[in-house]
Amino acid sequence: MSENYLIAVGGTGSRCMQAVIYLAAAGLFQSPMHILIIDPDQNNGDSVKARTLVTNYHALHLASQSRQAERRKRVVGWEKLPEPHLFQSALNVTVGQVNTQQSIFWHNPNPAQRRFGEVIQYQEQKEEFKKFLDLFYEPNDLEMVLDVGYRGRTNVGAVALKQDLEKTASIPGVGLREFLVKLNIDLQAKEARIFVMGSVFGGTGAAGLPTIPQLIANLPAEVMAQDNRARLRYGCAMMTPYFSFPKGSAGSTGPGTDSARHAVATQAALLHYAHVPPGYQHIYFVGAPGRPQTNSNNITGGQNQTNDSHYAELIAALAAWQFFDLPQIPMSDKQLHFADSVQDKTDVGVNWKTLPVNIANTARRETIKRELTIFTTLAYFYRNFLYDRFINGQLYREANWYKDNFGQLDLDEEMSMLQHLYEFSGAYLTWLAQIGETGKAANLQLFRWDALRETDPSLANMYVGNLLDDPLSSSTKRSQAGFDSLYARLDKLVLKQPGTNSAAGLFIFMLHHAVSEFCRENYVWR
Amino acid sequence: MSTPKLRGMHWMIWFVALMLSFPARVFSQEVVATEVLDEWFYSRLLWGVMVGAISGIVIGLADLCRLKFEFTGALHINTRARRKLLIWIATIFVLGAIILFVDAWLLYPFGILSLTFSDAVTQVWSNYRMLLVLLATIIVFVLVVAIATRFKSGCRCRYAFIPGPQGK
Repeated sequence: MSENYLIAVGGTGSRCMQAVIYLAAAGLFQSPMHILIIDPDQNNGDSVKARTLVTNYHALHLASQSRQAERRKRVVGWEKLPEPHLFQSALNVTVGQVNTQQSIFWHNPNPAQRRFGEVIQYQEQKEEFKKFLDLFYEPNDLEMVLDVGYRGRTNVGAVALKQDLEKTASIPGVGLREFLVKLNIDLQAKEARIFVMGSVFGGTGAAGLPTIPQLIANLPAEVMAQDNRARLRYGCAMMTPYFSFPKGSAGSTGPGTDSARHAVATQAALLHYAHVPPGYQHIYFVGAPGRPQTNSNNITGGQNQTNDSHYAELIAALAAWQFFDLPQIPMSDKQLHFADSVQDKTDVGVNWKTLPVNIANTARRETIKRELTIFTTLAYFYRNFLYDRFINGQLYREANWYKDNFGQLDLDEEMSMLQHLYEFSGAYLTWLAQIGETGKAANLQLFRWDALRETDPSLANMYVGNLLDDPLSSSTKRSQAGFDSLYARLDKLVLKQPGTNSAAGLFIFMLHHAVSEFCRENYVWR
Repeated sequence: MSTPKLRGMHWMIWFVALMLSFPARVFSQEVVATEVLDEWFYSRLLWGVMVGAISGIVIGLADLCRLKFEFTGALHINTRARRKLLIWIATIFVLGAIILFVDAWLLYPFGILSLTFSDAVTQVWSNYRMLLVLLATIIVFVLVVAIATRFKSGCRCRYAFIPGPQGK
C-alpha cells in the first residue's frame, strides 16, 4: 500500500488536518500517511488539538481489529465479515517499528522571542541594502516577535519560514528530516503524493504553500536523489477566506491580526501565485462566502487560539482524500478544482449532493455519506450509552456479546483504550457540532446538528437512529428507539474466532459491524 | 403474644378443620372411581406436558427472546427475563388450576352429589393429581423456555437460564 504525505501549514492547516484525522478514523483513508504540521507558532491551540487527536488516533490504531473474521449465520454455518475499516490508516509509523510513531509536528529550534529583523540580519546589512529592505518591510515587521507565527504578514513568513525549514531539513528529531527521509525511501520504488493544506489569506499558510515544492526541489542530492523527485506528485488545498473573528488591537509584541484584510490578502497571494505558479499538479480552492465567526475573541496566536471548526475544513480534507484516490497523476497535470455548491445559478447548499468538492464531482459520494454516518452513529452510541457503563462497574462482563466472543481477552486490561475511544468520540462529535453551528448560514444539510451535543440518554435514544439529515434517505423505517435496535445487533454477534489479541480492537470491530448493519437498515441503504 | 398454650390451640383448630374435610373427600372418591380419576390424571398430565412445551416455545421465543434492551442500567436482560419467567409461571399455575377445575367440573357431576361450589374447588385443588399435572406443566414449560432461549440464534436472553461462556 503506497504511503501518502500530508503537510498542514499554520493554524488553518492544523484545523484541516483535524478533519483529515477524523476522516481517517471513519475509514475514508486506508493507506498509511505521514503527516507534518508546520507552524512556527509552536503552542498554537489548534495545532496542539491536532496533536492530541493524533495521539488518541494512534492508540486506537494500535488496537488491532479482527482479521478474516467470520460470524455465525442465523440458521447454520458461518459467513465472512468485511475487514476492519475504522482507524486503519497508520499515521507516521516508523519503518520496521509499527508501534513507534514519528513526530507529526515540526519543532522549530529557534528561540521564541526571536524578532524578524534578526532573521534577515537587518542590522548587519549595508545601509543601501537596508533601504532596499525597507521597501518590503515596515519597522513594525522588523520588530515583530515570531513567537506566535507571522500574524498575517505573508511577506515576513515567506522569508522566515523558508529559511527555518531549509535549516531544519537535515536536523534529526525536528520532524522535517524524518518526513523527507521516509519520502525519499518511498520514492525509490514508486510514485508518492504530497498534499499541502493551508490558508492563502494568513501569514504562515500563504507563505508555506508555495514554499513546500520549492523546498523539496532545492534539497541537496544527499537528502533526496534527483531521480526520485520526478516521481513526486503535489496537490494542495488553498483555503480562501471562510471565517472571521472580532477586530483586535495591536499587542505589545507586534501587530495584531484582522480578518477584514483576508479578502485583500487572498487577492494579493493569488495574483502572486498566478505569476509564479507554486508547482502543484492539483489545486483545490476552498472557501465559504458566509465567513461566520469561529472565535469570539481576537487572538493573535498561542495556546488560546482555538477556532471552531468549519465545513470548509471538511471539504479540504475531502480534497486530500480525492487527491490520494486519483488513479494516476501525470507530471504535466495542472488542474484547478473549485469547491462550489451552485447549480443553475442556485446555491443548493452544502449537503450530501455537493460533497466531496462540488456538484459535478460525484466520485464515491455515497461512500462519504455512509462512512461518515456510520462513524458518527458509532461515536454517538459509544459516548452516550456505553462508556459510562463500561467504566463504572465494567457492565460489559455480563453482556452476551462479551461472553460469546472475548474468551481469554479482557477489556478490564484495556481501560485506557476505552478512554481513548471516549475522548476521540467526544472530540469528533464536538467538531461536527461546531461545523453545524458555524455553517448555519450555508444551508448545511448533513446531520441533525441539534442532536450531536445531546447527552441525555432518553433523548439520545430517540436521536441515535436519526442523526443523518438526507432528504433522499427514507425516514419511514428510522428507529425512534435506536439503542435497543442497535445494541441488539451487537448482542447477537458471535464470531468464530476473535481474530486479534486486543480486546479493545475486537470491541471496536464488533461495534462497527453492528452500527453498519443498523445504519443500512435504518436508512434503507441498498 | 404466642404462648405454648396458644400455639397448642392453633394446632388443634387446624386438626379439627382437616378432620372435617375428610368425609367430603372420601365421599367424592367413592362417587368417582379411582380408575376413572387415574384415566383423567394421565390424559391431563399428557395435555399439561404438551401445553407446557408449546407455551414454553411461544413465550420463550416470542416474548423473552425479544425483551427490549434498556438504555440505562445493565447491558443484558437476564434479570428481567428471569423475573418475567416467574410471572409466566404464576400465570400458568393460576390459569392451569382454573382450567383443570373447569375441566373436572364439566366432566364429573359434582352438582348431583350435593357438593357446594366451594367444596368442589377444595376437592379438586387439594387433590395430589391436580398438583402433579400443574407441576409437570410448569417443569416442562421452564425446561422448554430454558432450551428455546439458549439455542435460538441471537436470542437476547440466551444465558439467562442456562449459563454460557463466562468470559474472563
